[in-house]
Amino acid sequence: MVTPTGITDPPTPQPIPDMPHYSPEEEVDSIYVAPNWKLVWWRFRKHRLAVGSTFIVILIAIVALLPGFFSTKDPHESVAADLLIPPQRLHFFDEGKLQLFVYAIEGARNPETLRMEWQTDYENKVLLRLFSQGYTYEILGPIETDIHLIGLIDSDSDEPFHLLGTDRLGRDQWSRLVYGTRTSLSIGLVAVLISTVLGIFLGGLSGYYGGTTDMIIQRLIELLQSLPAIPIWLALSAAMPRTWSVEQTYLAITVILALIGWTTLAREIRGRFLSLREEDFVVAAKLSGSKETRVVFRHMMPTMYSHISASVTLAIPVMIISETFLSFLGLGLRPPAISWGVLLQEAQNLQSIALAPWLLLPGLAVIITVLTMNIMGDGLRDAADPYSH
Amino acid sequence: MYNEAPALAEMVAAGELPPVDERLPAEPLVEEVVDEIGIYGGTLRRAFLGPGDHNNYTRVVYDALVRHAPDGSQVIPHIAKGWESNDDFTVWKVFLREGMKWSDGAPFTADDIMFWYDYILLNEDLNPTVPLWMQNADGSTALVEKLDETTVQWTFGQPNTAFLLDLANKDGADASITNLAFAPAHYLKDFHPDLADEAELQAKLDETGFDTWVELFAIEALPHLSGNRPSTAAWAPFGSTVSDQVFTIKRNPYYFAVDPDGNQLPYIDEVRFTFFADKEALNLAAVAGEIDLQGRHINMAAYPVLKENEAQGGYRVITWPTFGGSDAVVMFNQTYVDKDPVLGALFQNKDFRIALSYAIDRESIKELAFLGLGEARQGVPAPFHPYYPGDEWAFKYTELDVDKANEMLDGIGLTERDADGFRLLPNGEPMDIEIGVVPAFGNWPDVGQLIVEDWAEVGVKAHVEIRERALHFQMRDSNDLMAEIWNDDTTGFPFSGQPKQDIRSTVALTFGPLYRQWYETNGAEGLEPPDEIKQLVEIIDEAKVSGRDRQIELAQELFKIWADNVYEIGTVGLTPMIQGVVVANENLRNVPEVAGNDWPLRTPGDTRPEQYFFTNQ
Amino acid sequence: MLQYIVKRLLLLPFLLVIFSIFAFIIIQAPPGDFVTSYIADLAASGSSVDQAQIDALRERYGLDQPMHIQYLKWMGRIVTGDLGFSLDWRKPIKELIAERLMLTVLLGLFTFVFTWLLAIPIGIISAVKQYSFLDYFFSVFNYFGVATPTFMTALILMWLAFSVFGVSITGLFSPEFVDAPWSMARAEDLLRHIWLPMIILGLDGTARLARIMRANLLDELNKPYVEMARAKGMSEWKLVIKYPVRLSLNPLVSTIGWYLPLIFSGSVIVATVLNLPTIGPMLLRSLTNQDMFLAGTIVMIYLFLAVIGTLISDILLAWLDPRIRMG
Repeated sequence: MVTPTGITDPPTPQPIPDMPHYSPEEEVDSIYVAPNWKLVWWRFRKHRLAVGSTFIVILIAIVALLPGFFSTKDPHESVAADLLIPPQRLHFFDEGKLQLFVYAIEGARNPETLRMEWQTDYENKVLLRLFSQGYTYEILGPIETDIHLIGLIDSDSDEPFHLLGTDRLGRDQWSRLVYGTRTSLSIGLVAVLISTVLGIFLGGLSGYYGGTTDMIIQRLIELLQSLPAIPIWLALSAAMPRTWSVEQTYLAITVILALIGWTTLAREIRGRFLSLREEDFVVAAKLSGSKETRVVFRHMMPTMYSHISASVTLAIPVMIISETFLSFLGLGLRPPAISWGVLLQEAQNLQSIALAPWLLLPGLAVIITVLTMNIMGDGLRDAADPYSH
Repeated sequence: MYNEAPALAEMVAAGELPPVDERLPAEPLVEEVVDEIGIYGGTLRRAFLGPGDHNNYTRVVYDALVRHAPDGSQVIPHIAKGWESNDDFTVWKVFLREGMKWSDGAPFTADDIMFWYDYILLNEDLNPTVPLWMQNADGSTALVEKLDETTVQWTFGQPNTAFLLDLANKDGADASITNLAFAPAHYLKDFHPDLADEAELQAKLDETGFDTWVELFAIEALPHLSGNRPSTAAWAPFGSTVSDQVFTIKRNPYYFAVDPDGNQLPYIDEVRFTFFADKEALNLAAVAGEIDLQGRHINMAAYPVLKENEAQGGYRVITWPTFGGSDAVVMFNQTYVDKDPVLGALFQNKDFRIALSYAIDRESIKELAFLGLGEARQGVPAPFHPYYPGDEWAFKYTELDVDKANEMLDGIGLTERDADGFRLLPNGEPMDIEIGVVPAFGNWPDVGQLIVEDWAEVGVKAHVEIRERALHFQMRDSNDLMAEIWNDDTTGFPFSGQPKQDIRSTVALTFGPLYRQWYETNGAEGLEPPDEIKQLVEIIDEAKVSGRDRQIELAQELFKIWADNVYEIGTVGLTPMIQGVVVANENLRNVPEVAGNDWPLRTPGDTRPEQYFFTNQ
Repeated sequence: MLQYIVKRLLLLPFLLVIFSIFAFIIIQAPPGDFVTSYIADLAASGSSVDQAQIDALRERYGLDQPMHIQYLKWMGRIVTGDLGFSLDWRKPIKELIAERLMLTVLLGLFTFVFTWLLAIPIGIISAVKQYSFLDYFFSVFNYFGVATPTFMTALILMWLAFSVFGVSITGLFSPEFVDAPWSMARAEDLLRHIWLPMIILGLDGTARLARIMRANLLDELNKPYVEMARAKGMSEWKLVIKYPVRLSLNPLVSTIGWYLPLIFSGSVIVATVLNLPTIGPMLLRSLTNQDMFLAGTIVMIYLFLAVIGTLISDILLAWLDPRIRMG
């Protein structure tokens, strides 16, 4: 069901419909004895696009876990001499030998147009290696290291090496993108977790008890869903105390996204509870004297796990896109924080698009992530639904 | 004797308009042209951001009794043909032009100034507080009298040498009736309860849906809000308002100025302001050649794009650098001590500010945030300005000297450091200075970021906080800002308007909100300022009652104290950052390549847009 | 059925009062008021204001009064049909909305038709030719539609249109037609401009709609009656169009009511980027400028239409699918 969602371009979390991708004939005998998760896995792996997407999602997640390792420069360090360098192509073979390198570049400001212009110097190569030494960062908590996936062989050299170029302040875009991945993914993840908990809790209450509880929660959901999103965003952002630091704002933004995002899941969960309430096995459990919590958590919830996990996967990309919209409106994270939204917001101007189109690459990262997560989520949903065809 | 635009000549021939000689005053203003005598015709296209951007219009027409000269060095006659003061500058006579008319043909006389004085300025509903420039030192209101049809006399309780400077900015700017010094009596009397028929006025209110006459009057009193209110500017709205999608002002057939050959100005038929909801779209329109003359809202960072597309877009890019000061300064709140005694005391410590000034790498800022334009300097006027205190003060503390900065910081006792190498406050607490930034002219957030990095090099921890404008201003008022980045516009005008060197100014940045309160409440509330700041106030007060030569001396002294104390840390100045990257149609002539650029000058108003013209070639 | 509708309609005013309080609180939540943001705006464009002006403005706009008084005043106006006065635009709100309503609705309808004309066939083809090349192609296309932030598409297309074709395509009219009276030439000019916002706004919706259509149709296609018809030798396309498509369209048609408020407001962000003279950018501006009466009024109209739209959707659903009973 489409639910157009308010005076807003950004999508708010909503269910994306079923998309069956396998046919029943392919199933084999062992399905009669296999546990549920195995069934889900068998069905899922038949959806090749979804499996492929999952690999990409895992890759992105690894990058998000270890941004320091994947980065090549300190993402905050600005070098006045290195501004607006276009992406440098990585070469793998040097005169037939395996050798990572980029060609050196030289730049100067055009005295007429004041544009920074960079020329590739094909005479000189900047040699690179894997697991090189660079700036020191903390890996997975307090462990300090200076090993990076790729970097200059001569770690003392200040030759420009920028896989995705640099921004207007001479900061390395690849490194910024990598750090932004962590922020944006975790905002998405945390926001979805909060809204899932809220959704399950309130939806469950509503569906299990019905009556007045149901009425109140349903009206609340209606109100939240019909109020246009942008005024709510503005109001909530404005309600943030002035003195909050970047980290606190970051947390608050995830909560804001979550507070708006829980309604759809709550509705679905409520629907499930409403129908399950009347199912034989639940009635049986109740009649046999099971405690309420046991009925809910032992008997009712497990039937919904797969559904919830699919919803979660599908909701994360919505949160990621919402984060970019918040930044666009100037309500999201602000520099010096680095997120995809911040990076895109910094590129939202004429001069970036015209002179430094590579600054729009974070947009591509958003697209790839959202795309693969959606495909993965759809595959999961199809596989998880025991009643699908 | 005089010539006029062809369209007007046709109307005269058809009997719809009196001949040009009758429309012009007996002594019209003869305006010099920048390059050559122009030809009539054409539309000047501009872009604006909606009704709140009404100053876009104000700056084009610059419709005041007197004007600032294009270079800002002096005040020149405009609507008023001249003035005269007594020896001690307490009494000023302003002479109007005989036979001058409003855009609807009604005569413009001393009564139009008296109407403003009696019914607008002195009306408490319209002006709950009398604007500062009309107040005497004792708080009473200055006296305005009509001497004859073309002479009006202002009498102040004390010498007032800022009078002309103030008068040069009474043009209804900021869409405010408190910012007028003349108004069309014949039109506005119908909207004023003291003069209008009560039933008729009520009928007007019912029709327009306003609750009170004040709301209606406040709109009708300004041409660009009313649309129908007659004007004395080169172009008048004739029905269009700033609330329209396209605000069009058309040639005023009664405009009082001619070129040296006796051709009535303006040359250009009309000016169109097209509404844009978004600045980027506006800049794209400029690149596409859809704007004929504009510096306002043109982003300096887009300069290379504009330059590269000059030929395709059919325009040229001119730069009018700022009038002085520094285009991004860090200003410390001198009264933050009320919120945090330890940190606040540091902000009050001159050596602390000097050390932080030495720590800034201005060359990098220039490259990264100002396209390599401008020069490192403190917030003093430009070298060509008479108020320039000299190179010593302009460049004081602006060289990068990390060792000296460290030495000075150690010297004031900030020797303890935390694990990350950041200096601790004298009480052992960690230090973190918040620099409040509003993205107003584009790249201050970047400048802030660079400064934070530079300060980290000397162990001073700071961070940039970008806030929405209204919130930032509220915090400024409530003494909640530690430091902020702003620019130094109006540096050439420390004695009129709302100069930032005067701690009493309303929006004097975050210089010292509680000091301002102290002055406002005559010492009852707020904090008493230290002697150096009191001295600044005394200098400004003295300048307002001094002659020109003394004013120059005083201004130089003011800026020496200003730079010596580094109340604000200047970075890079004399760039075209603020409305100074100007896109001009390649066929538009008489646009000066060099011009003063500042708000009090109403740029481009000071370059006299009425003598711009489009060439045929 | 009739009783149900009457009941819902009776509940309407009550619901709207609650909504209006919420809306007012939300709009008032950001610190400062219109005057603060106005002064800040002036300062940020290079001018300065003195205290006398600030005082005069606050008093003139009644911003010095307590919040509940301001709310009651505003509601009083809305109830009498006079929508009040915009602080920012200095114009009656009724006029402001009227000026933009037509183009907003026009763009909304164009986008709506574009979305449906594109999405329904894509959905049908993807379902009927499941797992074909076309199905995969459309799937990826749809995912792209959902995954791309629309403001980015808008900016990039705007720049491309300029740099490749040398035209600037901001707004809905060429400069010479912006304030011209309606004529054939102006209508033609509108058509030349409206396609870009239509496509940008439409792509996102198309993607969603097509996926729903596909899923619904697949459900229908697997039902026994289809097998039956197929077994009887009915030609495939005729078969598909005759029943399954119609049935799977039903739930979609019932959502038409939801579009009502959207067509009124139009898009906000894309319209701002593209500089469209529609209601969306005016709402965004009124919110950031704290022009609370304008913002409040637009949000109220929006909520009113949302409530009505839901009602229409419910009625449509009941009418199309007699199995659903109204409680």
